Amino acid sequence: MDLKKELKNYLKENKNIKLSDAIFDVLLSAILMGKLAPDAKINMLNLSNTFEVSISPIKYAVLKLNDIGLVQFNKNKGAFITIFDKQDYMDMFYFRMTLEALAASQAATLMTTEELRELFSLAKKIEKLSNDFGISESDFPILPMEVSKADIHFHSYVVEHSKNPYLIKQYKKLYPKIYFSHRFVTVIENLNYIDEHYCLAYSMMSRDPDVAHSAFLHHTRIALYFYEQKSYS
Amino acid sequence: MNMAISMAEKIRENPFKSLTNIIYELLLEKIVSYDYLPDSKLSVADLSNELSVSKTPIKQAIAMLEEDGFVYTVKNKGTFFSPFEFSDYINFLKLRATLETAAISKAVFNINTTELNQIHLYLKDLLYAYDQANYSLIFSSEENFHSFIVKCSKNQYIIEAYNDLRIYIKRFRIYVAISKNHYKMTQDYHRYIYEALLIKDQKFCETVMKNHLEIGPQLILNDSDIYNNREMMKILKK
Repeated sequence: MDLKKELKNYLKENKNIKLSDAIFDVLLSAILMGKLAPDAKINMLNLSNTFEVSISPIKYAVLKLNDIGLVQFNKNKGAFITIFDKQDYMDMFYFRMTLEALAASQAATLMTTEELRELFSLAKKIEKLSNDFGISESDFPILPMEVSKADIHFHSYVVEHSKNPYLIKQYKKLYPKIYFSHRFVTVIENLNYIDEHYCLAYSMMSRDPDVAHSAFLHHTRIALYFYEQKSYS
Repeated sequence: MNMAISMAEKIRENPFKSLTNIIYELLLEKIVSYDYLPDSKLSVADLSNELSVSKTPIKQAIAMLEEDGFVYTVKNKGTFFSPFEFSDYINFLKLRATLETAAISKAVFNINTTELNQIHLYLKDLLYAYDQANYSLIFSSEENFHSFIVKCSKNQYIIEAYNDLRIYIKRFRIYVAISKNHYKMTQDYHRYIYEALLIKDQKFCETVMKNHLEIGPQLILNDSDIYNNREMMKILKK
């Protein structure tokens, strides 16, 4: 893993970004891609040497990672990548389920025909990527990053169309944790994974808040059931 | 209190906090205390003089307030304090009702006798406050009652989200104040919530919490002309 090279490329692509924000983004993607494993210690001095920058932007980036819950400080020991224990994961999922069901019920009456069409194309994208990675045939241990991104894109598209700023703000805060959790939890035991996203899109097409609400609740409850049963690794 | 003094106090409390964040908090406190009229102008120059700080942190604080919907900017005219929008209140309330329903649904299984007794104490405070029709007492005891139930869910995500909503609960308390015709019903709802927790009936808990938080705005809609922001302010200041 060459973090320095990644930072250099990132800064080349995003010319106006603050150094501390760029370091945050590079570290974030390293965590989400599993390059920095849970419970790994974050040594700020080492990072400062690796990136060849002063310690201030590193501190800023680590504090920001702490803000979004991906880094935790242990007193007298330092900063560590968060370990997701099962209870924390279940709590996060319960919270996510609550938000998404509300979002779906609000978005159901607000989405235009074009937006619904877009939602279907997002479901199609999940299907295509899942097939490309062969996850419907095999027992895939971890959801590939691309599928994970498409999955989150689908769900956040619905949340954004709830047009409820309070809800959207809370959901956005969850993004990193949702990505992060996909790295360590397999969802493939749920064999209807692909079809279910089409069902969700159809439920939105009904334009009935109750139908959309229960469809999203069902989708996430089923997933929660599988996680609860055995899939936590 | 003078803003400059409040600022100095805040700096003393936490010297590491940025000036932008301190100014953001000061302005927010004043907004939710109804010190500024909706649609009145916010002058950066005046604030800069009053607080004896440069314009930069003030502008940054205003940008944060704008992101949170407390102020709005009109091109070439300046920044103004946002009026209350009933639709905005509904969006907020939908999320609040959903979160608190989810919270009580978990709390009903997690709650112990000590916590239940604590809720009973908060309920007594609340019923007394409603009897007295004392706005500020009602708000504080409502806050204690509701936030304690959320805390009993033991779900950190719900608790954090609820804490984020607190400032909006404070901002929108104006709607509670204007619905005084329904205080009797609101009192009853709180009693039902406690009783539902007492008998550990999850479905009852969920229904009563959802109804309590969602029915209020319907009643407000039905029986008052709430759309004039300034009129609402007068009611609250009385």
